[in-house]
Amino acid sequence: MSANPATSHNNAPILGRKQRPWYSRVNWIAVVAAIFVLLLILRVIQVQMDLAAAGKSYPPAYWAFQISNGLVLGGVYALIALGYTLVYGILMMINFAHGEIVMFGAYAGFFVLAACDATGFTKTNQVATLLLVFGAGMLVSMLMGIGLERIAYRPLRAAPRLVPLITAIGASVFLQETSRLIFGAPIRVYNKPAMLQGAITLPGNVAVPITGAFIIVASIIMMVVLYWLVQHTRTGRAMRAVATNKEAAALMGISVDRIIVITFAIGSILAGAAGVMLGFHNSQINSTMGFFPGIKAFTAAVLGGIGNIPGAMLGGFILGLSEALGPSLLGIPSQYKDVIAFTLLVLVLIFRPQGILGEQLGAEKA
Amino acid sequence: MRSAIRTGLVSGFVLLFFVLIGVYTTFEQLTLSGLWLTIKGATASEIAAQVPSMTNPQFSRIVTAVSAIIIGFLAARRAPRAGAMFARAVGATALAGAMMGLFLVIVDALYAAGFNVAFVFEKVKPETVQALLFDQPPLIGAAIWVILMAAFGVIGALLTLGWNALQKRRRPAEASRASETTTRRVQTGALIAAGLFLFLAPLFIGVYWNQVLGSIGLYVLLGLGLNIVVGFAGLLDLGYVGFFAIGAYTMAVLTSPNYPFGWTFWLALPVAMIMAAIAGTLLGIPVLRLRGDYLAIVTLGFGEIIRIILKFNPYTGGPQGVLNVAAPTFTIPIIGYTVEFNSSTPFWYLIFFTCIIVAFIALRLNDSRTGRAWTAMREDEDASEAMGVNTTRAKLLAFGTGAFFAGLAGAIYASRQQHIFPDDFTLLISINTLALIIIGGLGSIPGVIIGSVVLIGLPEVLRPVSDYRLLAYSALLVVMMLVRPEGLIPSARRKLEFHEREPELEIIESN
Repeated sequence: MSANPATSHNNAPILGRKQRPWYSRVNWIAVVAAIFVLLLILRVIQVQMDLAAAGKSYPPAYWAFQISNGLVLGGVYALIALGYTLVYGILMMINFAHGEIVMFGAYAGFFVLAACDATGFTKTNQVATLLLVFGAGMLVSMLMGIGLERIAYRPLRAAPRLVPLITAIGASVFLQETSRLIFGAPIRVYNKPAMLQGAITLPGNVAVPITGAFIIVASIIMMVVLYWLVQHTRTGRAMRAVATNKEAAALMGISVDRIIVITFAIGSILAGAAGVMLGFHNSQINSTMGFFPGIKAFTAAVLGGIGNIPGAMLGGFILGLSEALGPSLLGIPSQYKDVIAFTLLVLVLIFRPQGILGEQLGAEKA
Repeated sequence: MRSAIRTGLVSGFVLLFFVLIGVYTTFEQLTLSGLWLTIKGATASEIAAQVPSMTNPQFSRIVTAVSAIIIGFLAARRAPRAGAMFARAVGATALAGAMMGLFLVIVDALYAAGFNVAFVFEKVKPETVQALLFDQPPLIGAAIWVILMAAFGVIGALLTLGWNALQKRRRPAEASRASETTTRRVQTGALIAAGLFLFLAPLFIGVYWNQVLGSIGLYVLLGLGLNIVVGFAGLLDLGYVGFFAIGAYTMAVLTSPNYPFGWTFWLALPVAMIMAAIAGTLLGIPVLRLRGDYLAIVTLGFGEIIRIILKFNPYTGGPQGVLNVAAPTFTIPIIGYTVEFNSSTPFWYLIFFTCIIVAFIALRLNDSRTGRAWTAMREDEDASEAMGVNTTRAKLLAFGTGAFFAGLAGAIYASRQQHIFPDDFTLLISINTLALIIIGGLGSIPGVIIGSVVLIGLPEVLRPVSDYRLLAYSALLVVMMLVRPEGLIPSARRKLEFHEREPELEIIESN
């Protein structure tokens, strides 16, 4: 895509800034990006005009529903993406098994919910049940995350970069298979407690499911808490210090190992919450449920700028919205929504590898 | 003593894990006669008809005994004296047995109290617990576990003693290295014998094993291609199945009578390979600037995009795929005899010779100027660029060549299967291929072959327990990375890479 600096050096002598021809002064990447965005907008207008001409425009309530759906997905992606970003910021590795941690959180929440349903506890104490379900999901995920770090990643911290990555892929498949074998084939259905059923009707006859509203609010609260934790506590400062420079942080008396464990724990807690949310949102869970949300959340993290916490949140919401709205806007079948996420990832990596909010990364981080 | 406790705890958890994933119940379906029938290539229903009662607790007992011996062996390994050895081995195994016993007692009590444990842990049914408790009351059953495990731990300790004695005796002999030419000769002889065996194999193995052999061969092809990308050039490509799919679909669309082309296999083959290579190079362009981790995700996404497009695109038949892919015919030159590819035997020969050719090409590529550029790039991208390696070219070449071979494998696959479906091309194939080249040894061509035989062939022998195939692969992948990252048959360079530090350390220590 871009003119390779190495080849252009070979072909022509290095010219002074003023002598450079006009075509080497143009930022071609920006031009291509602009043309691409323009084409995208034209396509959207064309599709919507065609639909309007055929009298088949989507009603506003449909768009509102899709937007709320996108925000729900976005909240979940953002929570998962935060786990990727935190770990990547510190260890420079993709924790491929993060999606499986989400899945185990969903299972833990499901079993607690089922127990509460069976004993009739749900009927009398709905709020307590919800807290228990989320608590169980987060606790199990946290333990999984810490265990994973201890068993699979810590011994490999000094190894070549390909090695922990392959381990992470192996761990991801291993956890997926483990859950399939342990929890078995039956479909597990999340029964929503009464307070999460039904929908809120907003002005303009727009119905938003209560589950969705709940997920959006809960995920935003968790993000705010995380942001506060990282920016305003001692532990958070230590985390940022380790992310910036491990050796210097160690010299300043920070226990790097401890901070890494805490980072995995926090990321996994968020993942557990996201798993329970996914359970309530999709109402069904299975052993492969974590994989694609995991990959997409990574996309969200890259979109916002990996290693950047507000970036992960923003990326999550952008991805969720483009997945929910994209098919209707661009007039493509909804089966292609997974393609949107991956295309977005490739485009971001071509045009702005540091992400929307990310700063220029050094060579060792990119 | 602390290490013994740790070994005991860890092995206890492993045993519990085995119970949870149902190893004990599943292995009961493994019988010697059933195994023999599987090896002879009988289908599952034939086996069920001939071996009426497939339950046999012996295998699960053997699993338990063997694991206990291994635990004892591991726990006693580092002990200083024989007495400590026995103490550690017995301690560790008894601890693991006690954990197992405690678990069984708890589960039994839960069932007695009316909790349905199987709702959560599907494989832990009341009858499983009863069988694991040796049909005794829970406390007695648990005691039997502790005693039995400790008894096998003694055997483990004895093994350690024997092992240590062997090691002591062997050490002086090691100094005189066997002459290298002899080993080389033995290796060449083994290679020729194996080749001859594989060449003649279809004549005496059944239809079923012929099929398996073909699958192994196709995975060898895929592995050789991916080995170029991951092993030689160090670019982790998880979307490899995408190129396999492109090759297969190109072959299918060009030769199937449902499409207007109606080409022959031999005409479509190069087109399929070139299409895959073009796709590989195109994928290479956006990811040129990315390293390791990003590359893995982007390529994974690319593989999924290809599968989704094939699945929801009416031109490629949607989820129904493409049917009636043409099989090749081949006229043997001088004799003029025409071979119809209507059984797995001619396909096996096609795959066999293709493997040999591709392995030869890969071998020569690795030693070529490009191959050296790949190695340099893998070791240190910046340094190689400074040394004048055109990394853009090297990366695109690696992606293109890898994809070219994947396209070849895909084209043969489509023709051999006759019908292809988009869900044949899931991420699983990429992961299988990656696992086999890593377990065999990254960058090593014999490693690819051994890896395919171990990972694709061996599970066919153990078909009754095929449910655990992926679990075992992934566990192997992780353990391999932790214990022996260079693989079973490492390439010479990798071996040095992963152990480059050790000789230095020895020198420092000796000083």
